Amino acid sequence: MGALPQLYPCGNFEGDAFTVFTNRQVAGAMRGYGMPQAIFALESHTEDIAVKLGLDPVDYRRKTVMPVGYVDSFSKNELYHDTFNQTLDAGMKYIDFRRKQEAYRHQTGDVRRGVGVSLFWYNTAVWPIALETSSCRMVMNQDGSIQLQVGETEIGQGADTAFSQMAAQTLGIPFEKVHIVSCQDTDVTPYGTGAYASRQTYTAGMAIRGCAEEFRKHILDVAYRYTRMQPYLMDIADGNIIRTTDGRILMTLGELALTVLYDRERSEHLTMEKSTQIKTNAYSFGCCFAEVEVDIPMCRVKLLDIINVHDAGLLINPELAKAQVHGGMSMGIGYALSEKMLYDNKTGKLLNGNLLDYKLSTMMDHPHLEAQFVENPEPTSAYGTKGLGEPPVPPVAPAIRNAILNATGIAFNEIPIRPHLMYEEFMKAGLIHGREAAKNV
Amino acid sequence: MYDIKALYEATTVDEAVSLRQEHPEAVIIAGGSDVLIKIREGKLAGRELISIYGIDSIRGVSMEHDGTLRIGSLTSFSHIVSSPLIREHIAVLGEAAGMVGGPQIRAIGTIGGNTCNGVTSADTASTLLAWDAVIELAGAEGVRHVPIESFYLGAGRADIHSDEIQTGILIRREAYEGFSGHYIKYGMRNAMEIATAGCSVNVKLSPDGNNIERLRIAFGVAAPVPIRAHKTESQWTGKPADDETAEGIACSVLDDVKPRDSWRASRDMRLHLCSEMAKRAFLEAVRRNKERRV
Ligand SMILES: Cc1cc2nc3c(=O)[nH]c(=O)nc-3n(C[C@H](O)[C@H](O)[C@H](O)COP(=O)(O)OP(=O)(O)OC[C@H]3O[C@@H](n4cnc5c(N)ncnc54)[C@H](O)[C@@H]3O)c2cc1C
Repeated sequence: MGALPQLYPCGNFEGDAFTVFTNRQVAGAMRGYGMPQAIFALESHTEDIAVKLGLDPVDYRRKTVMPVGYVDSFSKNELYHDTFNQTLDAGMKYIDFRRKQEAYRHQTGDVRRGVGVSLFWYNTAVWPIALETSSCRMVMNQDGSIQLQVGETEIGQGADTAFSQMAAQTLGIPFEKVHIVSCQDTDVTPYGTGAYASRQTYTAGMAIRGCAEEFRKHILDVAYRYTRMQPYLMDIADGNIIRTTDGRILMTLGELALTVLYDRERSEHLTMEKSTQIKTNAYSFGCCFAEVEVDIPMCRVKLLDIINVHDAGLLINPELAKAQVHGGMSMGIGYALSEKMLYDNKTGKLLNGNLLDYKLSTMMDHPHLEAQFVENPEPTSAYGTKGLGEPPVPPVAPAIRNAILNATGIAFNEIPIRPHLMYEEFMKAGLIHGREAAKNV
Repeated sequence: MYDIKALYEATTVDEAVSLRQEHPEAVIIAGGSDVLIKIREGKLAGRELISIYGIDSIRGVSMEHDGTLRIGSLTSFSHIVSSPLIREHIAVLGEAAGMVGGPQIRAIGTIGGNTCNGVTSADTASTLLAWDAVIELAGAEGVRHVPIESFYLGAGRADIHSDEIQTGILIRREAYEGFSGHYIKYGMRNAMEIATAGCSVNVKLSPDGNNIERLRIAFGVAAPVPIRAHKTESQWTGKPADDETAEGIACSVLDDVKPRDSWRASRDMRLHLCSEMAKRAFLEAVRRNKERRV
């Protein structure tokens, strides 16, 4: 519900929400759940308004979208930068929007092309709806490398790599000196609430930075015993204890770790642990542009080109960020065009509970997936980051739907836009005539 | 895992024929991309299998003295895709084989299995039907030849006697010489997909390139088995190879096809697609045939 009046702020919004019980397949959580649905409805509706009023879909969005400085009264999330215009500019440039819009204006014939756009907004993590906690432990080995432990999980997205980069940066050690056991769990690590709500880089980042800063302080306090330099005159850089006044290397972290561990007076294993509650949240934004070719008599859509532009704050690892966007776009393509659970009308039994009949999109159904970023640092974030896990999905389906509208004039209010649905709608609109008419030729 | 009672392996056609006689209940397995799935689903669980995969003599594409193209039953899809003989004479069969599943399935699946399974959606079946292919079978009594159209007995059933195996698929010179074809697979996605409908058309134009001398149209998933559009073929043979004829074909194939309603697609939608596919496959086959002449 909250999704609707936020992207295009509206003071007079009233909505009713109700829950429906069905005897169909039990639903589970799937990437961004709630948002792909709401953004599909909202951005299809927004497009229809623009088309009806004869307004340019991009200009209309620029005029009505959340303004810079907007603060959500509930989450206290704020739009700090001119993100929407920046992401729209990048997307339009890549897809060559204006030229294509012009070229596709008065098409006739069986095969027609169209371009479409969609914006989206997203939250990072679940505060203040629910609690957000993250914890981090760092254990120094005798060679000056560390074991990093966080409760936030690696599920293939590269979280462990990003966490290691953060730890290395704040602590002042080389990336290779951070060891992390992938797929560790809270049997071993301190507690984190999990991989959901696009939260991990934001929330674990806070625990990692908090832990690393205290660890650094503690290490310098210990180093004072052996270097006799005041802690405020020292720093850790590239795995060494250095004197900041002249940059001299006083000892390596390895030497320090070994020395203190075997100190007969004050033996100590260097470790730090920190648990953090996160009481902020951050908006994640962006847009998608899609270009399609619709073969009307064949009731088929070919996706020609697609771009997602995200403002996910600063990127910790641009290549992993891109991969994250590619995966989300792929899921969005299936959501838009092919993935549908089919039920037997009489029994309610699921008909296509297998990967042959449930049509995930394949590599052959994807064009090149372009992922671009506008890196505006998030002020509330330990490393300037904000959510990117789920945000790649929501804008894809409405952008494709709007491109199909641009190509054919048919405004689909349902997804997936499968050939079956196109057949029905094209018949209704008289774009195709079916077999009866063919017989009369 | 796989519930298999016994596996007998043949390395020659004769061995396979004797195994068939010794184990009449056994199921033939070639690449196994249908059979193994049925075993896992339980439909063929606990059965004896006769593997013919090791019979190298029925693998590969060759040309006989009289110009007949011989495709050994064990020839894989990927082999067919890259065969120079197929490319030169019946390129469309290579195109159809290239649309099967994904690379792994094309490497293991055989054209023999794709026809012996009696499946209407099989990607090579409609094209073989359109090329008037002849099925060769070997049994205790010797070799038997069956036109592919009568090889299909019903959904999932083919004319294979209990002592026989399919050894080859033959396409005679008069069936391919001077012809060009086109196959359209209609699926919901571009890979790992069983056809919702398929249409394979080939034509031979008159020497001046203006009229249809021979026309063959075959459909998959337009009936329980792959079918030919005989009425349409005879109605339009001799007519000009132009857009008007294409529209006429689009219309008349509706009397030839008998698709059914299923949750995968409605009858009406399949009819519409059959009509559109026939038109397009015809026009493309004509274009290719004209191109061949210049
Ligand atoms: C993931 C996946 C995707 C697929 N995609 C497609 C697709 O896109 N298009 C398509 O058409 N098919 C597809 N198939 C189906 C399958 O690959 C084909 O039907 C294949 O051609 C079967 O050949 P095979 O050698 O694997 O046959 P098998 O599984 O070994 O046999 C198939 C049937 O034919 C019989 N048989 C095989 N060879 C002979 C012989 N020489 N003589 C007598 N009987 C014989 C067997 O007893 C069995 O009944 C797909 C299958 C899978 C698993």
